[in-house]
Amino acid sequence: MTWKIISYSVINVPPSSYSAGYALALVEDEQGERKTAQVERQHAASIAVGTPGTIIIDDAPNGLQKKINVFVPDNAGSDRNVREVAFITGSSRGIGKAIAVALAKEKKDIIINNSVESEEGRKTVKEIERLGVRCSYLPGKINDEKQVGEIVEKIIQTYGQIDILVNNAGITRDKMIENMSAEMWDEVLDVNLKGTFLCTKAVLHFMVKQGSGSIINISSIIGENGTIGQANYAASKGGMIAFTKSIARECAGMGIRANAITPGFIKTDMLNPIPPAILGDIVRQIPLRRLGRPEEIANAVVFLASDKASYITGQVIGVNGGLRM
Amino acid sequence: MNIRVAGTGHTPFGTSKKEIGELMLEAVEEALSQANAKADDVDTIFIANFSSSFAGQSHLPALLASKLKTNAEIVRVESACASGGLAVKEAVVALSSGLYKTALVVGVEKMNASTISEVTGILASAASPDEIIHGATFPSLYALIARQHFAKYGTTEEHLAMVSAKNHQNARKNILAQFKKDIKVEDVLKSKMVASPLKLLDCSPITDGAAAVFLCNQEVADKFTSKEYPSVDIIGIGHSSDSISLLDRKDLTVMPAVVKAALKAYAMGSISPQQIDVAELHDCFTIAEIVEMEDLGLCNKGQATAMITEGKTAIDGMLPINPSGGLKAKGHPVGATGVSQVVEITKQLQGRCGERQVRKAETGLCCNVGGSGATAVVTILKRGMER
Repeated sequence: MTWKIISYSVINVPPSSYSAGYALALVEDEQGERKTAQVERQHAASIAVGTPGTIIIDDAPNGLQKKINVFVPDNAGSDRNVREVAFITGSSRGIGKAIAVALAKEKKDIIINNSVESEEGRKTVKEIERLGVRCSYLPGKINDEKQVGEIVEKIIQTYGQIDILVNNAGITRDKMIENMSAEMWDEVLDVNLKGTFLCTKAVLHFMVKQGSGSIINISSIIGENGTIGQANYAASKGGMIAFTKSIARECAGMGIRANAITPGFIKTDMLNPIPPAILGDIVRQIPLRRLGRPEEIANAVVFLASDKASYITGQVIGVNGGLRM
Repeated sequence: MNIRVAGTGHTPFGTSKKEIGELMLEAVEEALSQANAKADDVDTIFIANFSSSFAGQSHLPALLASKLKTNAEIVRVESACASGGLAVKEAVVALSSGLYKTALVVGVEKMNASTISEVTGILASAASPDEIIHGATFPSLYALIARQHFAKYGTTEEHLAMVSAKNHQNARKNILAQFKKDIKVEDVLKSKMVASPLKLLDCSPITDGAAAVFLCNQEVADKFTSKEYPSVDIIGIGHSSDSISLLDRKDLTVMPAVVKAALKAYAMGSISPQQIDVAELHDCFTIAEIVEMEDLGLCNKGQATAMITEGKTAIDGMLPINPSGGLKAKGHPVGATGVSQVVEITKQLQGRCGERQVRKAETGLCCNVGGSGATAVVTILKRGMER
């Protein structure tokens, strides 16, 4: 039986027990019978008056013991021409690049960023374009509010939306605490924590308007456990976890989810300063007995960014081979 | 049948520190004092209030009785956002019955004690069970109406924004209004989407407030009418109900309850829509003002947007609509709204509206709507002889 939408509204301010972004619709069949129906968020952006579809009977989403009509448009699942856009900070190399590639494989358009334009960054963009998605390279310092504003403005101008923000950019300036200068402290906190805040703030404005979005903050196992010689890094990564939980609460009613991933020891340039003997000791403590690969962090990002994680927000997902349980 | 509006009272609309009983008392005392009446002069009282859940206070008749120190007959009336208009109608019926000579009507709501999502939920409880279970909110139900009006008559988001901007500009001239911000069409268009295509500035706000009218039949009318102002009478009132669900409405762009209530009111007042000089309509959402203009016969179906674009509904236009600022900008304390409309039209006909005074207003209309159009009360008032 085919039903057609007579009128609809996408609801961004829902009653408590609903989360924003679904649509209320009135639908009619060929015999003129009418029904009230709900359109799930993933289809709400692609419906119009006259859109044909089917009705399935489902449980009410608010936990009441009642059944509702869910309208599924006929074009659902096909190339709906609704592509998602992902902005990954610090993505010219390492974990950030792996995240960008993995999201591109999921057909997301990608924005690559690092602090200063580089050959590495340009190469990453070409690599991603070969996966058949749109990709822009927008280098800039994420701890500079003006530059962040310009980057986000350009994304909106080009793509009209931002669906996924991955706060990945991070730096280390390691020293034991008595030798750590205030500058070293500030530098790390500025990029890792303030940069996360500035990017989130700039992007949230548009996600709130859209009534949807997923924010994923790449924290670290160091932010949970602490470590020797990285008090500044640990503080910044621990701060990111608390920040994640706060924005998850603030934005829950607006259809926006926020989660943190805490990578364990991952094979990237960041591990280079660690002497091989110490790294060997570390690996022996990891239940899975090996270092992680950047792609394994990216897999968790892909999951958290997808609708498969629709009931997950404010969580800290450890991807660490079992090092921390 | 003419019923005299002997006194009016109106608290400031907005966020109030007063509890619900004090809000009622403030409006009631003003209405009574204007009519030189005392509590003992009141034969019966009708309280309009939508939900006790907002302020956590039920048994409002007894609460008012204790504040007013009266043993009068007091009845609470509820019909969602049309509670106020309905209470006025019940008072008119009571006075017309001959059982009572005077009646007090007070509408009240204290909504700011609850959170926004609680308020959204309480308001949504006035929708049909079928709509509630599908996650409907009132903005979304009016959005369904708006989108159909767009499709059928070419109405646009800009037209809706013009209604909002006009009502906001009017409210700047109303000291009792909740909002006095200088809102322009572009501000409305830029405001956050609440339920597409309705934006934040297409929606009436959450408001605390009370309004009261002291009514009497002609037998005692002169005793209670203030000598300072021209007298104003209710000459027609019509009330109609319809299915609570939009699903049952063949044409979403028409509210049959409004059409029928208006026909009854016009017939009772022996008056035609062309004779209306000023109107307070129920612009809970901007699209509602447009639909009601058409359903009340103030213009043909599909012609409201032309009137709005040409400025005909502005205070200095040929048919000023919502000179008070309307629900949009004056505020919408649900139970008080229908009574507040009667207060505004009475004051307009008496020439007491200062900066927002409509010129040569002799006959005015109030349209109070409940739910997504399922209850409607239309009241027509006329200025009496100058004394």
